[in-house]
Amino acid sequence: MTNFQIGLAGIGCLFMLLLLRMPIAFALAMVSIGGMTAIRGSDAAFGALGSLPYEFSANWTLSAAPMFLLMGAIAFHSGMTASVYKVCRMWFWWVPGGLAVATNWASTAFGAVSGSSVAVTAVMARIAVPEMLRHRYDASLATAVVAASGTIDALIPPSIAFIIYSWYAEVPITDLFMAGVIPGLLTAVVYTVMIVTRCSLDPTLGPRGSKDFTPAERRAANLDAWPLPVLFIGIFGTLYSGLMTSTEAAAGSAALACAIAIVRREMSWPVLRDSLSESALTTASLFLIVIGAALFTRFMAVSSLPLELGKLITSWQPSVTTFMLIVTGIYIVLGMFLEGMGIMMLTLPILVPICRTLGLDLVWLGVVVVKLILLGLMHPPIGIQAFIVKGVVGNEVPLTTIFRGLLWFLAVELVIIGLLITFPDISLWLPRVMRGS
Amino acid sequence: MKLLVGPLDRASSWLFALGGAATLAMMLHVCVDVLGRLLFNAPIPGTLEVVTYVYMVAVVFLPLGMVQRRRQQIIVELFSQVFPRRVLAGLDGSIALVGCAFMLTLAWASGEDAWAKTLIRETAPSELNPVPIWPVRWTVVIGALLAAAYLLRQAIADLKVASGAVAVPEGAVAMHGMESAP
Repeated sequence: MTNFQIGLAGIGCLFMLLLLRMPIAFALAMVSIGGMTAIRGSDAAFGALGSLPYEFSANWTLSAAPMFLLMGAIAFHSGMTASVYKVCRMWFWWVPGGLAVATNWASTAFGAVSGSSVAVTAVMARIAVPEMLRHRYDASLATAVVAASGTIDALIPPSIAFIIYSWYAEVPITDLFMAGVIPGLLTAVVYTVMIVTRCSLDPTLGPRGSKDFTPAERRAANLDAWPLPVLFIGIFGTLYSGLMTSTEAAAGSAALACAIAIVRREMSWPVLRDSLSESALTTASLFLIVIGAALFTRFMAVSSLPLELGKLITSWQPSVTTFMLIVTGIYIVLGMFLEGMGIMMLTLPILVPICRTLGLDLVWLGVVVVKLILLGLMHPPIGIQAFIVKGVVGNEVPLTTIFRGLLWFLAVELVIIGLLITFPDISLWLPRVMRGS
Repeated sequence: MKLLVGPLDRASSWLFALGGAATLAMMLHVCVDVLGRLLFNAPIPGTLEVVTYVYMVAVVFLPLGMVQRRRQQIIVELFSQVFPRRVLAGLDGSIALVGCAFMLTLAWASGEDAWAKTLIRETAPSELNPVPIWPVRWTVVIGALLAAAYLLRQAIADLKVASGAVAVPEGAVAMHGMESAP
């Protein structure tokens, strides 16, 4: 067998193991060790297994991830973020489908102080869905808007997906963070347009609300939401001042979140304990996959499979659009049976070298890849977002109803992805402006 | 078996708490360093080395036992709705045995590495701040061993369910990896 064939066989084995419900991290690592044994011999593979896990976790760039996770966990557990929904609700009560629109924007705003869409989705499902159902909103719209808008978080910085991508593709995290802002806001705007149009055409989907608060109450709610802009300015002020690295900015914002919780008298031992254990658990399971993917990258590199595939594609000379259409198709298929971070770590070792050969902008690619992964979180059979909402809402709404509602969001997602691919400037304009060139 | 469960759970809980403490220490250490640098022009020497080679490794590997204990590894859920619980339990049990073997190999391989680094009293690869980092190498070994122990325990439990010796526990197999979407 040639090394190329071993590489191909490795990918085949990987999918077999994944289908047998082997944890993604184990499957990646075991296939890589097996493949490296076949190509380089068992001593080299054993040596790699002994040293690489340590070397990949001892990583200064990636150390921003646990710090941002900690910040999000503190903001969530201290109840800081619950006030945001209240504010959005008071701002959007007058539009058709106002509660759904408010949910959409509250999730987007949450995203700015959180690195994980699971937390955003779970908390919105808890507060927004019951309220929408009480106001006789259509159950499929009420649940789907939570499931869909929860994903916007991964585009709005700070985003763990971008931190991992930036480490992998060796592009500056500050550029990626900025590149995600406009696509994230664009998604929220397009969702809003879709919700408002549907609710205007069919008012039974989302009945118009009534103004059930006084101006004084709204002012009070606005003031009560102060931690969000403060945290946001804290993160970005430090990140783009040039005074701090991304890890330092992340640690600083985690400390800022602690300070805000203390000032608001919301910090307690259970809050701190829960936040620390949540971020430690997420970090450990995330890094297991990162280590697996790092081993897989090493295996792919020695098998020269990405190089050969890249040569093949370069000689075929597809247009960027054709190439990206194929990539989109592959991600949708993978999204049917793999979870987000798993897809990313599985595909980047092959995709990034090919895109380097094709001379594509890796910052833009990062935005498109993250967006494509988010798509997989929303469609059946394993759209995790729908499962999270279902887990919170319980027996009241069947899973099929949630997925039916998500079809509308998936349809507009395809339009958004089309826009992102056709007009790279949607992603690249802001980082260029921030760099001042 | 029962005799081992107590110490195993205690060990994973303690190491998990230590991982959480490392997260907190990392935050405080970095903040004090930044404040010292910006306000007094006096950073803490070696912060980058300690964060990279000590805290990060501790945060990743110390909670490993707990990750496995709570079955928080991310898996592909394609067949969960298709197969009956007992078949799934059999599959998960066999996969857990393979995972256990892998974790033991990882512990052995990283153990050899850690031993070699201990003999030379390894320090961070920095001329300015040669922080000793060889003890941290052992967290990989400890994390992998704990995870292997839990995998074995879960393999036995799952295979018992699969063989029909024990009733299918409610919700035991279904919830995997809901915690780590991007």
